[in-house]
Amino acid sequence: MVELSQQIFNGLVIGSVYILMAGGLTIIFGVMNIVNFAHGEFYMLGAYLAYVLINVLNLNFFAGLLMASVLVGLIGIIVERILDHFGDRGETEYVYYTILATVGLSMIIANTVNVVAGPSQHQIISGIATDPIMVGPIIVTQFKILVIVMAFSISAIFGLFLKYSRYGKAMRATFENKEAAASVGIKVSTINMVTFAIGSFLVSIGGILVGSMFNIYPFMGITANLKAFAVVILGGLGSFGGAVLGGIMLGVIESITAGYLNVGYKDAVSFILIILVLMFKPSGLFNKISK
Amino acid sequence: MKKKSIAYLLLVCFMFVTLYGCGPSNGTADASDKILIGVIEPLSGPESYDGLRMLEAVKMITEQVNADGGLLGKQIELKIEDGAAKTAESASAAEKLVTKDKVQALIGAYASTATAGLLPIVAKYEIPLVNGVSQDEKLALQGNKWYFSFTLMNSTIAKMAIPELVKSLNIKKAATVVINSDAEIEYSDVYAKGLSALGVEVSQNSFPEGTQDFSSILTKIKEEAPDTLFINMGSNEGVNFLKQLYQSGYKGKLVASDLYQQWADEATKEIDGMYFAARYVLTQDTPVNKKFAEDFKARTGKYPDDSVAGDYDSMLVLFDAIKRAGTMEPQALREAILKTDMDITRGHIKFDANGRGGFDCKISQFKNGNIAIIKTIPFTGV
Repeated sequence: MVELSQQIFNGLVIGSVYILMAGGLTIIFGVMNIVNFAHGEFYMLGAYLAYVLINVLNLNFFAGLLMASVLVGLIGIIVERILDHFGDRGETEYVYYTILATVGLSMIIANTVNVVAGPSQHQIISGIATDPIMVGPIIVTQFKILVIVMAFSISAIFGLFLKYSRYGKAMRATFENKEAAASVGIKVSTINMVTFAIGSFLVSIGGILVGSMFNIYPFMGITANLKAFAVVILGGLGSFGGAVLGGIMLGVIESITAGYLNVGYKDAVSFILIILVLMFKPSGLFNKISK
Repeated sequence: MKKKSIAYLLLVCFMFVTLYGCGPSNGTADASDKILIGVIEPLSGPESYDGLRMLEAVKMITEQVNADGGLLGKQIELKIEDGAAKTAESASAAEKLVTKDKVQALIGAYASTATAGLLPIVAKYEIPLVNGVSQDEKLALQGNKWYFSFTLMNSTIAKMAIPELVKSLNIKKAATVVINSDAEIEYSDVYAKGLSALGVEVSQNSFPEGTQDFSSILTKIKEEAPDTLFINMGSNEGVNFLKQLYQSGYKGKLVASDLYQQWADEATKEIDGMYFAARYVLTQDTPVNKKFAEDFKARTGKYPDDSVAGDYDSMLVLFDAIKRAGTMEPQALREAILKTDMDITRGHIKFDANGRGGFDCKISQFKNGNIAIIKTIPFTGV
C-alpha cells in the first residue's frame, strides 16, 4: 500500500508536467486548428532560456521561470504570425501546411540548440531544497510539491480565464465557430495570437520544471511532444479540462506500470491506451467535461 | 544555357569536394611521412561529456610524443571521427577512417555497442584496434585477432571484487540497477550470480537508455529495502539517477565499478560514502598515473576518470608497441602489442595469446570529496 501511494504521488508529479505540456497543445488545436509539432521544442526552448537566466545569469528561479516563459510566449507569437500566412488557403491545405511547417520548425529549433548549446545534458538549479521529506508513508521533496501546486494553480487560473474573462469567452467562441465569432466582432487573428502565446507559455513552464527535476538537452522536446499528443488524445482534442484529467491519468498509469511491471513498458502502455481510446472513443475520454 | 550548364557542373564539383573532403586543402597525409591513428569517440549525444574528455587525453599524449620527436622518426597524426556511442555510426566512421584516411591503427569507440561495430572492419582490413574502455566480454570472446581489449571485464571484476565486498560491507540483501544495454545487463547478471553464490538475496532492475524520471524504479527498490545497491550506468544518467536516489530517501550502501568525474563534480553530496570496485582510481600512487592525472588536470581543468584513463592507456600501449615493432606493418604491430609488458595508469598490463589483458582491481571509497583505495585485489587472469 505504501508503494502504491508512492507510485501514485510519483504519477501526480509527472502528470502535473503533462498537464502543462498538453494544455497548451490542446488549446492551440482547439482554437486554431493547428497540430503544432513544434510544441515540444517550445518546451525545450523554455528550459534552455531558464537555464541561461537562472544558472548563468544567476536570476532567482521564479523570475527566471517567468521571464523565460514570457520570452517563449513571444516567440510563439512570431511563429503564429508566420503560420497565419497559410490562412488564406483552403481549410484542408491549411492543416497540411501548418503540420509541415511545424515539423520543419521543430527540427530547425532542436538542431540549432544542439549546435549552439552542445549536446550535453544540464540541470536547472532551482535552489529549492531537494532533500527527502516524509509525509505520512510517502517521501516527497519541496520541489515536487511545488510542481504539483504550480501545475494545478496555473490550470485553475487558466480555467477561470477561459470561463469568465472577455478574451477567454472570445477564445471559446472561436473554438466553437470561427465564422460566427468573427461575425459578432471577435478579432480572430488576435485570438489566434493570444492562444499561441498562452500555449507556448504553458509548455515552457513544463519544460523548466522538468529541467529542474531532471535534465535538459536539445532533443528533450521529442518525447515531450509524444506525451503531449498522448494526453490530448486521451482528454479529447481541444479540451483543456480533458488535458488536465488526461495528464494526471497518463502520469499515474505510467508510474504504476513502471513500478509494478517494468520501466521499459511505461511508454508502451501509454500508447496502447491511446490506440484503445482512438478505437472506442475517438473524441477523447473526458471531452464531455470540458464542454 | 552554356553558362548555366557550367555553373551546375561547378556546383556538383563543389558539393563533391565538400562532402567527400577530397579537395587539395583536405588532402590526406602521405602515409610514408606520418603515422596515422584513427580515433572514434562519442562526440555528440548523451555520452559526449565522456567522449570529449577522452579525446583530450588522446590528443594530449599524442602532442607529448610528437614534441619528443614522434615515433619511428615520424610525427603522429590523429584522424578523429564521431561515433556517437552507436553501432552504425561507429562502423561508418571506422570504414571511412580505414578506406579514405588510410589510418594504420584504431582507438575507440567507448560503449561496447559502438565498439562492436568496429570489429568486422578491423578484421576485414587487418589493422589493430586497441581498446581499454569497452566492458562487454562478448566482444573479446569473438576471436577477432585484430582486437586488443584490456579493461577489466564485468565478469572478471565481479569475480575479483564480490567476495571482498560481501565480507567487508556485510551484504545480505542487494539490488542491481543498470541501463538496458548489453554491457550493463551483463554486469547485472554477473553481479547477481556472484552475489547469489555467496548467499546474498538479489533483485535485478534495469531502465531504458534516455530515462529521465527514475521515481517508479526507486520506489520499487525502496520497497524491497536492499542493504546495498549496485549500479552501472553512464556518467550523465548516473548523475541524474544518483540525485533522484538521494531524494528518494535511500539510506543503504552504494557500489559501482568506477567513479565518473562528472559524478564527483555534480553529485558530490549524493555519492558521499559510495564504494567502487574500480578499474581506475585518481589517487593511485604510481608515476604513470601521477603524470597523467596532473597533465590532464593542467590541460582541461578537470581530473580524469576510468574512461579517460582507458583511452590514454590505449595510446600508451599502441605507442609502446609501435616503438618495439619499429614499423607500422600490421602483422609486426600485432605481434608487438601481444608482447606488451608495461605500466599504465591503472596498473601493469600484459596480454594473453588472444589479445586480452587486465590489471588489479581497486576497492575504493569516495568520502568528503576524495576517493581512496581501501584494498587492491591482484589480477590473476580473465
